[in-house]
Amino acid sequence: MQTRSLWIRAVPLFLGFVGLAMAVGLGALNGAFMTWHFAMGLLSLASIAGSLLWLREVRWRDWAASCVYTVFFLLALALAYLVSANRPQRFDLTRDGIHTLGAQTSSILRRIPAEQSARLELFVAQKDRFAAQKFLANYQRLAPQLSIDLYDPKRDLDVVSQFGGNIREGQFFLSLFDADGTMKRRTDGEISLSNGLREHVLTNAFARLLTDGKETIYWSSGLGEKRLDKTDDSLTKVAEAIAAGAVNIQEFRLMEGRIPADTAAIVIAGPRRDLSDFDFELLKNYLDEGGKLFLMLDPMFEERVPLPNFEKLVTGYGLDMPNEMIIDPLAMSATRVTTTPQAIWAKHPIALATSRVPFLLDRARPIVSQGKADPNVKLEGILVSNEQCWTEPVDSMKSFRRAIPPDDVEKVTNQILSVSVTKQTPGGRWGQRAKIVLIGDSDAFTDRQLATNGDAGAFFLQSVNWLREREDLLQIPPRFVTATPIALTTTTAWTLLGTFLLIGLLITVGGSGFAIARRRMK
Amino acid sequence: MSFTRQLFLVTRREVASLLCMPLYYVLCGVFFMLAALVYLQQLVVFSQGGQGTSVNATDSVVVPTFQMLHFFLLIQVPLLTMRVFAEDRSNGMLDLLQTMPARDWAVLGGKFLATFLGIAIYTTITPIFPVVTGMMTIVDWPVVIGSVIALLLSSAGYVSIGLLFSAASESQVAAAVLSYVTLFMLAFGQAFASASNVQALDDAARHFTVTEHINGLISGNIAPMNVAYFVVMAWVGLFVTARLLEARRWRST
Repeated sequence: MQTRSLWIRAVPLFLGFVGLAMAVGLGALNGAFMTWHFAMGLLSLASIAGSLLWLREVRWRDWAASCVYTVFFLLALALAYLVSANRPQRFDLTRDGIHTLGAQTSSILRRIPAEQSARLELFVAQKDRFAAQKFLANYQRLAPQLSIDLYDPKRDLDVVSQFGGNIREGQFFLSLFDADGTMKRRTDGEISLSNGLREHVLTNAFARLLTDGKETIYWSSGLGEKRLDKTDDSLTKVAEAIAAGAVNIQEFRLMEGRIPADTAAIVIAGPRRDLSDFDFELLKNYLDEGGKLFLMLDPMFEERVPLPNFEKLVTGYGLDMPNEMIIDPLAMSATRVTTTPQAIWAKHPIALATSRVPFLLDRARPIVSQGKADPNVKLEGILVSNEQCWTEPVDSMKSFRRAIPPDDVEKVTNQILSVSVTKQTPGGRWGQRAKIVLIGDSDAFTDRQLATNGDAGAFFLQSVNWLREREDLLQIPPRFVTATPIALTTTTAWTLLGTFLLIGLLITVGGSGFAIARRRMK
Repeated sequence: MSFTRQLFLVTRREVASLLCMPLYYVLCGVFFMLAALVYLQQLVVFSQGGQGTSVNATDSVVVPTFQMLHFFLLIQVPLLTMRVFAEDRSNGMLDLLQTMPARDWAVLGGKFLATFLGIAIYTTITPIFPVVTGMMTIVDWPVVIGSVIALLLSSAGYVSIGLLFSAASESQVAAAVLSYVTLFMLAFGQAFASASNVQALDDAARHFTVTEHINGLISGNIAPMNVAYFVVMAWVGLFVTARLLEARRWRST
């Protein structure tokens, strides 16, 4: 009789386990856990707990009341958790905000028109799925028009084939749709979910998606400038990075005699010959009509050819770029020459969009303010050297492999390496403002130097974006956390180890002694 | 006697009992020394620019140290909680407490608070490592504060689970073993769920297991869900323990 009663009392326990298994199993089969799965699981757990109490001969009425009380309490807790799980708030305690999307991402996502929608299709391995969901949820919070589909490249073979097969993990396709569902544009890319450096890739894809691709950057040639011919001395990589932002890059010659109507900006990268008077007038008129120019003017070291018209162009904006070379004695330790000044970022919209990692210029011409302030012209420094630098005329250079400071110590100071010029041009054909970015070097951006040269690439890219007046669509660089190096000597390490172990031993021995003494006293 | 007074008296008695226990100091000392070794290992690797480390000391030294501290806490909590009810039961103190006009919740709350305070003392030592790091470089103090709070929250959850099994089992060893099994399932269940290759199970495990929640909190990404997880865990443990104590009263009547 007693055995039979025990079996009867074991029924809720059995049902509880069955219920729990069904809740987990059905959830797994459905591919997602719904609220009722959780509710069923909790009821089953309550049943198990209750029947355990019953098995231990607890009174039926007490048991029932306790069970109801338990179920309601546990459901309330589960509900509290579910509510909190659906709260979008996050508190990012890190100094660099590594868990939060940057302000530029917000700015770019806000550009998605309300009547349009975007769809992100990301191929991600199952192990990275949750990380991807968490990361992308931040994007969805900022852009409710964004829908996200995650696919496993090893399982969702039909989707893989729709995208032409051969899809890698991390690869994504981003599409923009009109209100009627017609696809407007599509771009793609690849992110890594194993590290934190992915925001810039996806955000830049959004920037590409929202750029209509009608703008053209004209790349000046014919004056010995750096070309786009994929050689190590060309600027092919930076040009490709600009083109990745849905901007056309086209080479052209000033001597053709006209500036195309669709010009977003003109890039003149390290000319070796001067402008003709005709070209000078053409360029000047272009700028007076709100044109945009990115001018990289190297010191004429080998050629020793003067560039008076280029210098005259700059002089018109209250600046001077004499044919001199910046000498940086601190560069000796890194490059063994004094002519590679380190470019340090100043406060400028272009700098704000980069990680502000310093980079080296290679033989840089200084930029000097003439001090004549034109109220229509605004000059802003972008890059400066350190305060140990001075300049020497190219014709009479004393320092190269050895720094020979000038007699006049006042000449040793920060040198301006790059400036931006903005001039109001109301009613101009190419815009309301003429914009120029000037820098005294073009070698720092060559394919040979770009990969290992700090934020040189970011400077180039952001300068072009700033000229295009698309600050809201600035290509953003990878976000890096602040470097906080530690110099730990062996002595310090051993001292720390000894101190910590001593503290640990003191806690153990002292505390145990104290406890034993107290016990004895009791 | 008011509930608060009962709670205070039980807490005081339990704290006094805990501080008279040599095991407590041994565990505290071992915890500190293990933590110090982990911290120094991270510090040395970081200062030498070890492979895979970030350039940021908080990311590479402080956060991994706190993650390991959390693991050490997980190991130590059952050793402290196993005796709480089992010992009282064996020496008859629990019967005495339950026949007194003290409420179950006061007894349970007092024991929980005392054990939690014992663990909190461990936790208050841990900022010594970020402080030492701060003497050598810049440390993200908000992340450190978040990590300490994460350790305290997780301790509250683990203590309540430990108390549950201490109340449920007759022997201290059984209580410790059951606590370990549960806590390790909570800590490493995610890995098993991921290995199962069932997406839904993996998704559910991320809600039920500790890993996602504690890593989020320690790395300075505070989400309401992560905080709620440990609060709910503590309440579930305490509530079920209270039910067990109540059931014990029924059985004895």
